[in-house]
Amino acid sequence: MGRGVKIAVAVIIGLVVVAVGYFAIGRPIQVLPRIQTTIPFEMSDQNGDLYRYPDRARPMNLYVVVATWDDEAVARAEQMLERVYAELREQENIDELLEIAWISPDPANDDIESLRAASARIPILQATGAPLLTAAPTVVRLAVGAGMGIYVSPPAEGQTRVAYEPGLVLVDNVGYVRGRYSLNEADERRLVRDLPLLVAEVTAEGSEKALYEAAHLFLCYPR
Amino acid sequence: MHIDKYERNWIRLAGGMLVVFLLALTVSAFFLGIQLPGIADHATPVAAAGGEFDVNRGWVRELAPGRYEVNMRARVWAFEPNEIRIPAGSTVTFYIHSDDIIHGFKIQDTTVSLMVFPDVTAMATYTFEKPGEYPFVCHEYCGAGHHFMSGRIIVEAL
Repeated sequence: MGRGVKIAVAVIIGLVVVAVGYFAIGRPIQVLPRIQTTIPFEMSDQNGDLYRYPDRARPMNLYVVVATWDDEAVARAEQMLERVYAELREQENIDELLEIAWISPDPANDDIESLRAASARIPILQATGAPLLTAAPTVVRLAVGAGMGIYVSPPAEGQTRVAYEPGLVLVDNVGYVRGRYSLNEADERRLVRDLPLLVAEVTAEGSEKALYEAAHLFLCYPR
Repeated sequence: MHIDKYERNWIRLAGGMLVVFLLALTVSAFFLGIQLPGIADHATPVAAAGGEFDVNRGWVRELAPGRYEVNMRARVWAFEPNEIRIPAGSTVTFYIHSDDIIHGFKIQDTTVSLMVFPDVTAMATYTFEKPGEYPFVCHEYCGAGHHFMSGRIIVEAL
């Protein structure tokens, strides 16, 4: 092998090493972690119509888990959804990309009538057309507890309402949970930061998709 | 370029070791399910600050039948909680936080083995199929009481 060839090979190897190092450490492409897989579910919306996941899934799915009697959490979730829409307003075809559904974890207190009333009094649900869902307690616990990692516990003795942690869950087109968010300010900022990253990933085409897979391999998560 | 025979052999040996390490990493990561901490703060449990399940405390909670979540605090020289009871067949996700220095978290007879750094959440999920007692220990030397830092998971037969 001639000296020139050796130098060329060394330069190419060096460039590859630098490129991989930059990709892994500089993180020019960032992705959200694949936290866990969701579980398919079937629930009823505020009109009594059947809502099946993943039949209704879109490339990005945002599930709000809040009981309609939880006024404080409802108000915070509304604020967060409004912020999400404000941030993504510029994004083309966002309505085709993002599915929003509101799940009540308390079917005993949130029957179809309650859901319908809540749907009418929560403006963001009307603006987005997001359904308000619920199902039998076991189905809800499996879907949001085992499938999304949101805590819901049956009513304690002497109580009539479930104990739960209100939150939002971001799910991708394949069914992976990509983010879980409490209703606090810090998580709202995190949600607003994460959504454009997932938009970029789910709209990637061709060789770009491979780069996103490589970003998962190198754990290129936002810092 | 002339390379001495012994030097060439050492280079080959070093290259071979790199290949072996790469294979070991690949097999352990993709086939044995052993993972280094990575998801970090993106997968912390959803829990309101100051509530019953504040992440600054240790707790166990049932998300659904057969699905549990453990928020564990590691500090010199104890885990909180240090005893966990679950039914056999349960899948448990552990979120482990260090309150002070670097600790380890290793559950005997499982693939769960994590380093726990301060300000970073280590996460692992494991399904406990067989009933029995699974001790867990800190396996990063953390000071004079390191050997006391342990606990157990009791998997009860259904």
